[in-house]
Amino acid sequence: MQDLNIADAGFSYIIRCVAAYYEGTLYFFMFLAALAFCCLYKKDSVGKRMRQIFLPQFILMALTVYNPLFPVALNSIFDINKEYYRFLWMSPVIICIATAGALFTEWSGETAVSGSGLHKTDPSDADMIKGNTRRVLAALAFSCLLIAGGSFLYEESYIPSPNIYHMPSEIPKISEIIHEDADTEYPRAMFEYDYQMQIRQYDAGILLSVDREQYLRALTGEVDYDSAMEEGNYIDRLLAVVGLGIKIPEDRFASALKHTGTEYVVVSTKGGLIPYLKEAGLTVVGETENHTVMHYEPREPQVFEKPDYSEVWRLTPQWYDFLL
Amino acid sequence: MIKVTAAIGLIALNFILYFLFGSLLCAGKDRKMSLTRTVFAGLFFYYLLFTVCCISVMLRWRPLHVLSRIWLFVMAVICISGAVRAYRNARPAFQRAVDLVGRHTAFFAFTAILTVAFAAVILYSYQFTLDASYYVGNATTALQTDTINMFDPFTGDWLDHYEMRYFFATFSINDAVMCDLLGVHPLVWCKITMAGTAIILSVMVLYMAGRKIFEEDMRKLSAFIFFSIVANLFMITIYTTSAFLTTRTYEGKSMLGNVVIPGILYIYICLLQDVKDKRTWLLLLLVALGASALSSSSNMLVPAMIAVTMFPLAFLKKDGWVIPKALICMLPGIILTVIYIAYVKNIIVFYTYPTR
Repeated sequence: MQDLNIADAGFSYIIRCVAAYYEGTLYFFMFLAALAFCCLYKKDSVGKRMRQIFLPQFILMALTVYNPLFPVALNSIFDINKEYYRFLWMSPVIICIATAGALFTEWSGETAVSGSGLHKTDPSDADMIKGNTRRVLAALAFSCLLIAGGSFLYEESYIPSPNIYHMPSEIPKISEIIHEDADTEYPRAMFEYDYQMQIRQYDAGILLSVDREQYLRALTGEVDYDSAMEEGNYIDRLLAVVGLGIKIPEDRFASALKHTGTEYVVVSTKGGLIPYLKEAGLTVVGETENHTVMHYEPREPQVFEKPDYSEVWRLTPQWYDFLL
Repeated sequence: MIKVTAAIGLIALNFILYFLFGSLLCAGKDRKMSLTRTVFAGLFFYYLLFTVCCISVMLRWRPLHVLSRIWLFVMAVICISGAVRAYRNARPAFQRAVDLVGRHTAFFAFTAILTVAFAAVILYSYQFTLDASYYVGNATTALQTDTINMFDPFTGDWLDHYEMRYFFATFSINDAVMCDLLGVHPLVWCKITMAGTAIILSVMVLYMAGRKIFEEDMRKLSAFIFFSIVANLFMITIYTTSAFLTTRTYEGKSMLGNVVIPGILYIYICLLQDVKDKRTWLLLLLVALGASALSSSSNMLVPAMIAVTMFPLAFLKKDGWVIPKALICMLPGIILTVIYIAYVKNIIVFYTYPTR
């Protein structure tokens, strides 16, 4: 929903939001079909219960969440652009579809038997027909779920986790190389995008010069050669070189490293940036299978110091301070 | 392999904790206790108590290890009390569960195999998700710095104020505390133990809702669970609850979409049967209070979900008391949403240092 805006889309927002939410799948229509089936299912007590479970919530959601006026009104109170789709979570899509699937297979078995009249003449044959019909219809319902999905979670590939940390195997090695080389407890580094997003999950002892939103800004085209060359725009310089592979003058990149206190740059060995980084004054301190760890030695290193709270604790005593 | 086995074993620890927390509330002499409902209630009671402890320590700027020690003490007290209550009163519930499994062995074997296969496929897969840099990163940062929400998980830099978006959502700090107590790496805890816990909890809630929907018809129930799991593997776009369950399983939002919201639907179905059942209403209040710890999105979604299920209930059951009861249950989320709006509008801010 990043590129969908309530103010711009106005009353058509909800349609676009639902379309984006179910993008490429037919599950919304399947949900409506399942809802209709559950609501029309028999006129006995079971049918009544199904209607009571699913219909009132759907009507109220149709009047509110799915109402084109609602997101516009809500957005006038506070910015709900990025989160509005979460209201769609309230529709019991999975539960309703699975309920309809279970009822459908059962109902079809019963209908097949009562239609054949076997339940009066030959109960054992009736049971067999009932069972077979149920299995066939279960397979049919299963196929519907597959077709409606359009895509399977692992259709592109199933990538097994390389290790217990669910991280690329090189990350622990890179972390080790940096800490072995660093003089400080908290060295600051800059990585290519995917490693930048993962390194601190494994090792929060490595500080990063650029945060997630800044990196995303670069990847969505907001950082280029010109923005990197602007005076004092050090973050964009790091992003331009390491994130986007744009080669700005080496001294500008080195000044960005200096001003942000970045001591380490980690790049793909085959990415073609290593000669450029060497020109900028970095040296290779270690290599993994596909990545090279490079060190920049600033003249005046910025040492990160964790704030000391002991004075705060002394001034604000608490009953549980014996646990400190 | 030993680490993987231990991480999977810790899933059982989570369920034992939720059960013992739940037993304290659900295992009364006069009550017909349900094991799954006890675990469900225990989950929210656990996170509610944790949030109370966490915020009181966080607002006094104390380190993470203080919270870990307080939480260890609270867990010990609750677990011992819960175990005593369960020992005295939960025997009939266990006996009923054993009888049920005995009567429907095929169903439970089928569901167990399906759930284990579903969990194994998800837990063994490698997923790169952006938000992990916050949710796992926050736990790793808290452990590394021995602080609570004082450092930016994305960069590691010190923050001068607490980010209110995550202030009440203490889920990732609980991850950090458990890692501190158990000596487990946050990645292992989040991506194996908590992910496995979330998957089993979501199937458990489906089972609870399914039993109510089909009134103990186990054949329909097995088809229901089978179709639910299949649908979860195919209803995949980046926004669906299924996507959160299968790719971002370790996040509180996954629990919100797949445990809390279906859980409220389950409570609605229970209230359809007996709208005056006080325990079910208290369970709804507990869900409303505890869900905020799982994800800040709960503050808006839980009141909304309660409204769209409980307001029609008042008409269906022709009971005017449903509305005020529902409003009380909506109140925690509404209050926290107002606090968040006040923060966004610069009216409220909690600094990471004393200002006076």
